[in-house]
Amino acid sequence: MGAVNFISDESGEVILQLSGKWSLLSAKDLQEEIRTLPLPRQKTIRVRWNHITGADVTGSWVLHSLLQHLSHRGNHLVLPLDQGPMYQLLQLVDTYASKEKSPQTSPHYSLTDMLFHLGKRFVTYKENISKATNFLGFVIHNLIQTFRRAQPFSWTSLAYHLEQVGLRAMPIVGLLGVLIGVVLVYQSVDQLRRFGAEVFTVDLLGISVTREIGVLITSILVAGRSGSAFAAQIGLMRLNQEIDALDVMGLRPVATLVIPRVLALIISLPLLTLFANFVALGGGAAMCGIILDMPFSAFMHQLNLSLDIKHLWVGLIKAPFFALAIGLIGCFEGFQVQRGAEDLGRHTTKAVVESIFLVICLDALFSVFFSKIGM
Amino acid sequence: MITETRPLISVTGLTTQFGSQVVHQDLKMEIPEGSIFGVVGGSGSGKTVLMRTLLGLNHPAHGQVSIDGLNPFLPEDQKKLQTRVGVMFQGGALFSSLTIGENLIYPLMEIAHLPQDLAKMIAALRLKMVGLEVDTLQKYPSQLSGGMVKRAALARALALDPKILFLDEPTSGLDPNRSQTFDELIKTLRKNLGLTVMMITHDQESLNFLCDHVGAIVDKKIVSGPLERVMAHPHPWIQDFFWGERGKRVFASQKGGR
Ligand SMILES: Nc1ncnc2c1ncn2[C@@H]1O[C@H](COP(=O)(O)OP(=O)(O)OP(=O)(O)O)[C@@H](O)[C@H]1O
Ligand SMILES: [Mg+2]
Repeated sequence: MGAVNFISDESGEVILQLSGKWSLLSAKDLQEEIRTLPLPRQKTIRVRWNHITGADVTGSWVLHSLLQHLSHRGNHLVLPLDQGPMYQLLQLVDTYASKEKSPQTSPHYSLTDMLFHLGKRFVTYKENISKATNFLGFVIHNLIQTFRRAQPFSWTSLAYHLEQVGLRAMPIVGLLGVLIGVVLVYQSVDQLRRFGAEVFTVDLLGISVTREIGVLITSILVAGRSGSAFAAQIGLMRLNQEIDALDVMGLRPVATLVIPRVLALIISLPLLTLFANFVALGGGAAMCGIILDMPFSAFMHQLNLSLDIKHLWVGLIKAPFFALAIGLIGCFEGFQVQRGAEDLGRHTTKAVVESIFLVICLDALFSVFFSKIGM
Repeated sequence: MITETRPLISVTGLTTQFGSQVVHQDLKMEIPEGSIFGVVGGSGSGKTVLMRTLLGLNHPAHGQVSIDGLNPFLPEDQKKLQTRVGVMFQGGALFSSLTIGENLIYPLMEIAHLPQDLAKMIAALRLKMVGLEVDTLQKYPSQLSGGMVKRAALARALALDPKILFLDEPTSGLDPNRSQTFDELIKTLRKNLGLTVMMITHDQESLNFLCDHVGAIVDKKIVSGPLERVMAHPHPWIQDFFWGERGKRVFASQKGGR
């Protein structure tokens, strides 16, 4: 015995007998029951809802659609005369129930749709690039303005970001530097031993760390740490309309938010790179001592022979450019956040991926450049 | 037509504290079943904190809270309260990465396990009830106006057919016509569904039109009871709220204690 039954009384009249709870939690079962309900052939149906023990809007909606279905089918419905809560609820639902079907957007794709989406993607891509270059120009203009003291600059903010971006990154950069030094020595000793040239491990370590690995590892780490933080901070401020508030107060968002962050990165990334170089060489020296029995003085002597100061410069010169790329992309992606939590996450991820990508591209360009000028 | 029944919500000896700041001290109140209970009080007096405490979102330093015989601080009772309570937060708290339609459908499918087509139709019905167009279903919260966010939030609060509705300043930021329709909708729902409503408001018109019971938070305590009784309370803030320039115009018809 379900909640919906058609019964016929002694005079042959069909009665729609409703019972039980018509509520949100029973709506699913009710709908299932209605779907499998055999409908009577008689035209007139008398509705009885006096056995319904409780109803809410969702339940009434299910009942309402059953009654609608019956009357569309051509049945003549005789409703009870009582105007109790069930009647009131049905009235309420009837007032708001859609006469028209609720819009069903069908995901139907045709060839033109595909072309349309392709074109749209291309246009968005193009727009993004022009937006990004616009932003780059704007920031550089602001940077120059700041250096020429044409606009106010907050030293407090710079100091704060220097601490966040530089000082607080030191432990992890240091740890990673030591490990890289250790791994490099360990790997190259094995290979060079075959030629009896173990001593050149030091050359390999010195040159690869100072020219490439030190700055790359530091940049990638900073991109993951600070690029994402910039995007998330600025993105959340956008969502809260804090950026708009800055704007209308005449505090230019780029000057107040972007410049200190980018400057802090430009200052701290070379310093972090230098630090990473030293600890990586230190780690390498320790490893040479352990597996090659090379005393520290011998290590230093070999390093002096092979490592020209220009190699150190090659690594360090790249750092500010990488810093600019990381800072700009992080802030730019932050400003692109519009919609909400998901958008924020997407742009934060994009900031990290894009800045690492750009850092490696720039590094490749620098390699070509340095080899051309013979450094 | 106020029928005094058992209290649906009761709070005793409630003390709430943030660090050294005491928000409520030994607060006691009851909300009768089927009433619309308006909470008033100055800005920062602890109205939202009281609501959050009733919902179990904020743990008080001392005191007992009982909602429909359940304790909102016990995990197993919390689960039972889920479908009985609908909440509209002060800022709307719509899920920003879902469309309005998905915001409404999500609880229907996750908690009530409705099939998707049914959930979609119920969502459209709810939206029309609060006076929004059906095409709002496809929009994201960030694409709505302030008043539309309020109404969408009410629709979501109503989605699970709650027995108890908590509203934090539902009509602030709506134009007078809208807030009138809003009030009428809540009244209709209360009448037809036997809802109990706790409503935080600064709007004297709404209070006068809707609420049969009122609680005024003053001096870390609450003065609560039927509207006429609270209006007659001698506390200066209450006197000012109900019998100041604006209040007098609105409550002139009430003829409370005076
Ligand atoms: N999470 C929190 N931590 C610390 N203090 C809080 C916290 N939440 C609220 N407060 C403090 O509790 C007090 C009451 O805040 P509440 O949000 O309840 O005010 P309200 O009565 O709702 O005001 P309004 O009408 O402006 O919304 C305020 O002084 C506020 O600073
Ligand atoms: Mg509040």
